Amino acid sequence: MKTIRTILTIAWFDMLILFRSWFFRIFSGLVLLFLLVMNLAMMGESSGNWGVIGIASNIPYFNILFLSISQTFIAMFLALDFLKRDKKLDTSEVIYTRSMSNWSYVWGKTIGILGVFLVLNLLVLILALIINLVSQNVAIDWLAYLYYPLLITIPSLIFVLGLSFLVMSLVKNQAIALVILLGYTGLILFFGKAHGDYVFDFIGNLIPMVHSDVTGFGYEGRLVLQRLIYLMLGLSFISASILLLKRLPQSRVLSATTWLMTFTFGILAGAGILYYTSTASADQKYRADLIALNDQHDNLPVLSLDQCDLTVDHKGDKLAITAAMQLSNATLNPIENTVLNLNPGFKINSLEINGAKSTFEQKEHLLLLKFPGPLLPGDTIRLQMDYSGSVDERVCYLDIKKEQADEKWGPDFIVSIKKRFAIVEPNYVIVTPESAWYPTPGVLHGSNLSVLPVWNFTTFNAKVKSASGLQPIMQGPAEQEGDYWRFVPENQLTGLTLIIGPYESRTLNTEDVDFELNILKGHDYFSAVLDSVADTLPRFVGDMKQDLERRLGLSYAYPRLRIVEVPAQFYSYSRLWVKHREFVQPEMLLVPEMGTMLSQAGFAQSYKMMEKRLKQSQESLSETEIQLRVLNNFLSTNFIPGTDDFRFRFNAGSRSVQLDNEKRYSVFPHFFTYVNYVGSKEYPILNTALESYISNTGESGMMGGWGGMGISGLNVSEQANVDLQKKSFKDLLASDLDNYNLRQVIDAKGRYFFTYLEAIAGSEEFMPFLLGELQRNKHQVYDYSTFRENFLERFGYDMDEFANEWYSGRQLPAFLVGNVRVIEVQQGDYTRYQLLFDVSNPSETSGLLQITLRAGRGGMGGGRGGGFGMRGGGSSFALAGRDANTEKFLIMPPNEALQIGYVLDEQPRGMSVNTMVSTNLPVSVSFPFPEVEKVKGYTPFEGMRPIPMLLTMAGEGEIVIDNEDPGFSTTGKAADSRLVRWFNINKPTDDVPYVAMQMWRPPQNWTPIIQSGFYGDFVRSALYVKSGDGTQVAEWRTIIQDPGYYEVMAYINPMTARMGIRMGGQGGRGGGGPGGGMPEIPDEYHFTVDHDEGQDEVVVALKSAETGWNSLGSFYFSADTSRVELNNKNSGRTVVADAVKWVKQK
Amino acid sequence: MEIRIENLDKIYKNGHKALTDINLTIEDGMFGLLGPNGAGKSTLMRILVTLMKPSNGRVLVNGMDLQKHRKEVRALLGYLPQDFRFFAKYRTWEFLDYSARLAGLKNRAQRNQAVEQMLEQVGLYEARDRRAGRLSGGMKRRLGIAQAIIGDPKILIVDEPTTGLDPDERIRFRNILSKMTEKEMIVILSTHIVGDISSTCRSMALLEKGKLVFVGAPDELIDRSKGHVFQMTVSTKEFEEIKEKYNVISTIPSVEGWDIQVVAEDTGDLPSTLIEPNLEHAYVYFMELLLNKNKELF
Repeated sequence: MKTIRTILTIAWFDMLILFRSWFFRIFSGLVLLFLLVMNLAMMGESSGNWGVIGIASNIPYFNILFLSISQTFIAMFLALDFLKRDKKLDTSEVIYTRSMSNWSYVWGKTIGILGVFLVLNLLVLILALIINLVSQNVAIDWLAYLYYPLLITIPSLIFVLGLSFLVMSLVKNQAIALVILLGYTGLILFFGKAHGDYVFDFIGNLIPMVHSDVTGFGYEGRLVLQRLIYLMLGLSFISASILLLKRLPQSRVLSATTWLMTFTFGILAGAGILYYTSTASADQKYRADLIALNDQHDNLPVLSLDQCDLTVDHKGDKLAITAAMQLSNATLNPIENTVLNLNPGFKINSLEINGAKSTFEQKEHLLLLKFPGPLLPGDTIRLQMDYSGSVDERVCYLDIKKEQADEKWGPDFIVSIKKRFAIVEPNYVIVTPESAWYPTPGVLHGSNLSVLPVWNFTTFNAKVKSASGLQPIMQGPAEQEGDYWRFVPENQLTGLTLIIGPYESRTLNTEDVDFELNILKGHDYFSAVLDSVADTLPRFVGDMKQDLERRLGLSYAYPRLRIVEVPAQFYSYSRLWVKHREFVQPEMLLVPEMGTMLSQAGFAQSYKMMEKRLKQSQESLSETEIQLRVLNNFLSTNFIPGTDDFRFRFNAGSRSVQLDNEKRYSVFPHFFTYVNYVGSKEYPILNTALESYISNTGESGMMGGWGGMGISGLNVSEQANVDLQKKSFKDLLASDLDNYNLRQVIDAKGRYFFTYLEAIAGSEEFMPFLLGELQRNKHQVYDYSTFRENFLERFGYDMDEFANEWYSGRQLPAFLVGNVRVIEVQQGDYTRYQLLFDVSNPSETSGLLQITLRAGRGGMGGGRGGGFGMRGGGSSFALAGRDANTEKFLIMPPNEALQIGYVLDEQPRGMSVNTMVSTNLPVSVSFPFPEVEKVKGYTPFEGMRPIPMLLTMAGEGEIVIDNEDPGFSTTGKAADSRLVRWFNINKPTDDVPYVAMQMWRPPQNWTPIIQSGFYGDFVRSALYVKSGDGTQVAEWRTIIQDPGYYEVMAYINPMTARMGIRMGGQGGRGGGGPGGGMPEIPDEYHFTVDHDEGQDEVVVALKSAETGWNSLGSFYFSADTSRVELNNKNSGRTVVADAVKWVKQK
Repeated sequence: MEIRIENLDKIYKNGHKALTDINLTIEDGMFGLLGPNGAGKSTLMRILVTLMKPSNGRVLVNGMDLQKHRKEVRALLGYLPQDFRFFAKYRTWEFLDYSARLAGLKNRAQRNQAVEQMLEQVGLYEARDRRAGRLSGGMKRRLGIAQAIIGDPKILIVDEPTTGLDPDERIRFRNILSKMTEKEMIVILSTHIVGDISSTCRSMALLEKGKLVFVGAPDELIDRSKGHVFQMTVSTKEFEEIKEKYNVISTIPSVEGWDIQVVAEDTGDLPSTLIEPNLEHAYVYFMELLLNKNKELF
């Protein structure tokens, strides 16, 4: 009793001091102010962040976590300050001589600091709660206001205090202790990440803690253990600092207790850490074992799953399943052994083949079957299996690497969600094909892409029984049959999904598709907001579907679409070989709880915002129209492929994997991925290639343009080409190239393959042919050989040689495009235009060029100096047909040079040539047409005619030295700053040879960049450097064979040099005068020309420089080495060195 | 109350012998511990208030061993350390309230009363709401003694309490202390200012270089110096010579030169008057002459 009183006394008086400390007051004030603003913004009427607040418990989560991160530092400082102050003054001796135990003293101090922070936490919670209460359309989760402080604040504070006390007791110097503690915290905050399954995360800022209404945190046990570890470590540290306190102890009992606590908590925490990390690494090892198993058995012949009848009983946290399957041998050889896979969480009770009990070997998730006699091609067997248990999530996404698995998943920078791939709990079940909850043929994913999963189209038939009140959801119409719900899907499906939960559903019938919305009970937050769209909804949704079908040229493949709300934790990764994620299932969309990871899902907020905007623009729309707009924004941003579909990639240097930003809930698979499958033994990636081609053509091709516009100097296609120069497509697929780059290679190669066929067949013919083939082969495997035969029959071209070269060939074509001319041609009353240009392909392999013409004033190159950032790299057209006037394909055979002629009705303003898969950099090059020639009596020419092989753009009598040539060199290497070296940011590497131009932080060394506007035969590159004192020098050197007067010229692109932005079209730039919006800096380049009479410095003002060759003057050169130099003396930010030429004067 | 110190040694880690074989019994009343700086007074005090362990020997408080009964002994203690500052953020009454609580005053009403009484007793009632950081030096010292005596300790230990105080404050402080002796308690006053002891202490001890050189009543010490304190009037030249030979403890300029007081065994041929010694004289006589003479004894 006295002990408690003493503790409370000390705690109370310590709190008094802390509350009176300005340090604490200012900190608290700032935190409260910041959180007030954040909360208002988050829950604001028209600006709210629904992703966070959709799940009401996230409000206290966000607040408490933010506070916890910031208070960690303050608590450390205060804890150290306290001990220091006590040490310095005799004041503490006055207290030390009082009759109390050291235990009481240190605990009093601890509780004092803890107390003030708890009060602050309470204030923050009250603040959040008040805003929560007054905000409309935001629910309140009262319990969350209790469990988040318990999970986050308490363990982290106790740990931080304990650690601070202990460190201070040991090092006895506040400054050193602070450095140690801050260093440790910084290390954990910035580098801790998910290492050891968040074992280092003492604050709790990384470990996922979003709480679902249905499934809670999704992993309560581990989460609580992780938090307990820090609580116990903290208690152990505090006890240890009691023992280390420089005061003579007075109570044997309490001293003994302290020893006991130090060790007990220490040992408990240690055991906890050991258990926690060992289970995590055991899981990793288990996954590695599974992959090894897959690799070991991936050569076994695989049957096809034709039919699968499932009877499912859901009881508690288990499923009892009977599977009756029909499997067939679709291969050309007899099969004696085969392999199936089934989640290893299930125990197989019995297995019969063709009605007879059969032996089998179960190796984790693999079922190895041996037939008594060989199963001949075309033969079928019936297999019946009883199994029960739960799913083991560790078998899911074996191909996903740990770094990707560890990436944070959540709606903002604070809140994060545990990723779960299958859930079987008493009140909720979700199992998708990924969890292998029913047996399927083949192994799961192996160690690389040589083992692609087998795509089956199966006739499913399922019966499900669950506890009362829970609604099962699967594909197919639902019918109640006694205790069971029966699902019989109309089409063959690629997989079956089972969801059981407390659902309520509503249906919207349109002409041909029934839309069924299944939401968790009590989660209807939208009906009240979207209350007047009911009548128009069927037509609205129907129109939307038709638009999409028109755009894709493919039709929605099912009679219904079930939109099912699933717990926030349900997650699926994107794959390399398919464009779908498990969020999207055949005839199903699995949307996250309360729309938390969807955009525009805060309908009330969106509505308010739209109202506000309309008011500002003085538009008036009816209630229904506004609601439809809100709905339209929601649907198109989340589900409609090809809209707002950006892929960002941060920091190309670190090669991070950023596939996650693709549209997760795109319904594209319902039109293609789950519907069609081109099977090929020779080219297993072909289906993926087709998907890339189709999705790209349907998705407006923005990706080609935007994908690489970040920090990287190369866009995605260019990076793919760089990778393809090193290995063949086939070898790259089997290599350890990171997923992001591999995906770019697959996309580039996929588009290339089918665009090549399109070029052969002609766009008008090819699209209908391809779509027809797909339409005819819905819901079944369509073999490559059939496609090849049909194509041959229709277009007279056997694609096999090309396909083989495409897949296994190492050579890439290289193109030289030049001598572009536009000639005005008078034909009677008509004025027509002849476009001429030369192309050569000096490589050993054929290639494809895609030529886009810009006519009239439009086009992206018009306007102010050439459309910044918008590179017309991708192909922007829909499958419904390419415009033959603006899109041309050109197949260039190996070792050939051709002059190409097009006769056009309209005057072309510019042309961009996309060299697709080739060694050319950049992939897309723009040619402005500044002048139109008028040639009397010119006979127009359409088509191509051979010309002598071109190997360089240099004209006759010209010597051109480009920065890629051996005659070019740079000097004056300055060391990078230490910071740049540490972080190694934006430096060219073997894998990424060119960087993006950075005007805000140009490099100290000459650094290679590429751009359409630079000079180059195959690679249009240049080097740039930060302007300076002239010590950085670029030099062009050549040997003059023929003495005489030469005009020396330098290739300059003033636009790029001054703006530093990669531009696609320069068509609008006319004669090369300065465009609008250029900063008026007197940029001047300083060239030095060595000639026979000495050395001349030539200054070129960028403001008046031409785009292209600029004369540096005429000089006499005798037969000797000639040099031209450019130094980095300049008043602008950078200097760019590109090419220099010597033109012999007549 | 009785404190018995038996064979107490304190040797610091660096080998410095701070206390050697101290044997001392202290009973109720004011006890003065006198000695020059560095004699070991503070070390002894710190051992007595349980801030430090002795290296050898023991301290018995009412028969309880200090090492074994810290809890009980601490409950009897009131302590004012030498260099006492406050947590600047507390108000005067808050700090007293804090001390009262730690001293075991549970009852709020009693405690409030005790705090008010104490504030009045030490003359801080007017400054009760003032933050400790804004008190003057003397007020702080008074607050220091107040926190030490609140809760009626049976043993009050005060280390160098009057150093740095102006004469008014010093007198005030001594008065507060002497009032304490009205109660049945031990007050141990450690000081190097002889005046602090002469005015208040019934018994005292003299520490020199860690050793106890005298224990007894102040009068006893004075007795020993009787016949050894002289007054004389000298010229400046003579004064210079005398300074070399004798312990001069006071000099006052006069018409002929200087009126000086000297402590010595005798003054030889010098014309001098024997005067009645006070404690200060006795202290100097004891420390400078007796100890030096009997160096071999110690």
